[in-house]
Amino acid sequence: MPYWRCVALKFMPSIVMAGAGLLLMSLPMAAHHSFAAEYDSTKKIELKGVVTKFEWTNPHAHFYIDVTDPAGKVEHWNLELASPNMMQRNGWTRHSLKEGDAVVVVASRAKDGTWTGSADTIQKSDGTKLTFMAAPPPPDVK
Amino acid sequence: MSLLEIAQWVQETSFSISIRESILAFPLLEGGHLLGISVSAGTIAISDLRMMGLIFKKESASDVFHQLIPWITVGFLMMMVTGTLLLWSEPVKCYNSIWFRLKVLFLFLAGLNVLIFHSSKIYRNMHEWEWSENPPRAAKLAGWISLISWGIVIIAGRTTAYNF
Repeated sequence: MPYWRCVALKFMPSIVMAGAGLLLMSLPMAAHHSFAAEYDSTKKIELKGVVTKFEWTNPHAHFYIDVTDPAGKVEHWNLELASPNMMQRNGWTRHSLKEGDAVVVVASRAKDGTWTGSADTIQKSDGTKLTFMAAPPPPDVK
Repeated sequence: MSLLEIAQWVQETSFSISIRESILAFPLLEGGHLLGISVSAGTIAISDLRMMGLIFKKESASDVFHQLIPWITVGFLMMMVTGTLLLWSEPVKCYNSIWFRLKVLFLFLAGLNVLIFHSSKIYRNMHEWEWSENPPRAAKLAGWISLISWGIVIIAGRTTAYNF
């Protein structure tokens, strides 16, 4: 076997692995994990609507609301939350939202412009405020 | 009953719902699945590379295999058990995912590769070539197919979690 083939065979696995790694890194990963790929955090929207469904599911929970615009047209929004584990640590339960709840949602809208977004805070009509971000730091004590 | 109908039926079982809605089970299964993959695919890669005559040349190929087989088996079982439970929790999403289908296809290819190679004459006569600097072409080919299949299985599996 010519020498170059020995070398090629010897290093081929490393070359293939490196190539696969590069390919993987360059893939556009729009994802349930990669917030920035799917949602635009600079485009905050406020939605007033009524909950139609709450899915307490892994890997990420979702809830759905119907938003009626002034003209009477109804938009069906799909809003993403965090994992049940993370939400429970921030005070949520699987009953935190239910069908019929009137809510005001602040969310980052999806970059593709569809009626989807990643929810920041949810204000219920009884004043309860829900979020899954870690609690804000306490105010400075003087 | 079509495959989709089976997936929909599984998705509605209480066991599927309880994993999907769990606080701890789902993340623990994900972690266990990764651990199972790293142990099995890692040890499989070592046997592939030895079989291709690339590493551990001071030990015979059969010696390396015999030491690795328990690890391959334990890792593989762990991967399959956790993987089945994860699939059970999200069967419709998996059914609809082109990545998951690709993963299953290459998982079968990897399995077929083992079956074919292990029933070949080259494998049975391993003692004749296991110290060779240049193993038979079939051994190198089987090694390549295994490495590439497992690479695709892992990448496609990871990609199944993403919404493109």
